[in-house]
Amino acid sequence: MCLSTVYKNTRSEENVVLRNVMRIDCKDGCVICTDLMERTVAIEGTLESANLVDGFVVVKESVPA
Amino acid sequence: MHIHHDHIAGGHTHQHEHTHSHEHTHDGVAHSHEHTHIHQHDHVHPHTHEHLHEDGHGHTHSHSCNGGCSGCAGSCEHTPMEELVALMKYMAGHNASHAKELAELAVQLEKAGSRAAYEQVMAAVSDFEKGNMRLSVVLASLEAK
Repeated sequence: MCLSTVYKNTRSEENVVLRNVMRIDCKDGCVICTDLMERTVAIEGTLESANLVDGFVVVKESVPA
Repeated sequence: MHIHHDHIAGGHTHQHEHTHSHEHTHDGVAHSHEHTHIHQHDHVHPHTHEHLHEDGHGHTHSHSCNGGCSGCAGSCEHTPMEELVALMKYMAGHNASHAKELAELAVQLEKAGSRAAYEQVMAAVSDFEKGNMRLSVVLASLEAK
């Protein structure tokens, strides 16, 4: 419903990946976030949680091999 | 408000015509024949980046960008004002959508027998719309610059 802030691993200010996110796609092991300006950030990992009322999403980053 | 783009994250919509056959039954007699459909679908063109992370380790993964690296974070050329205007535009539209949802909620309250609640929520919708009008005026003045 509203724009969200995407965090990596934990919901803390230093872990903000992208703000004003309007779209999230999960593809090939990546979570791809797109903001209002159509910037995209791909994070290798999985969607851990999405709070659509408070407007935040946490992505669990994959541990590099 | 929902924003729809046909070209987000490398995805786009286009049309295909294709033919396939159907087998089906009429009055107990099975037969097949061909159909031709035009349908459209979204797809993305992922590509691969190799890059280094802050801790120095490098690896490769796929992005679905806007047809190239120009769509990725950090390389976009938007001024802060352009971003603020985009956000204002989104908020104005989003608030209008919320006002509409509230009005629908008010109607549901009235149908449920709460006329007083209906009137109060509709008064809130009116206030909401006044605020949205003010936002729209600001937005128009920003866009005129």
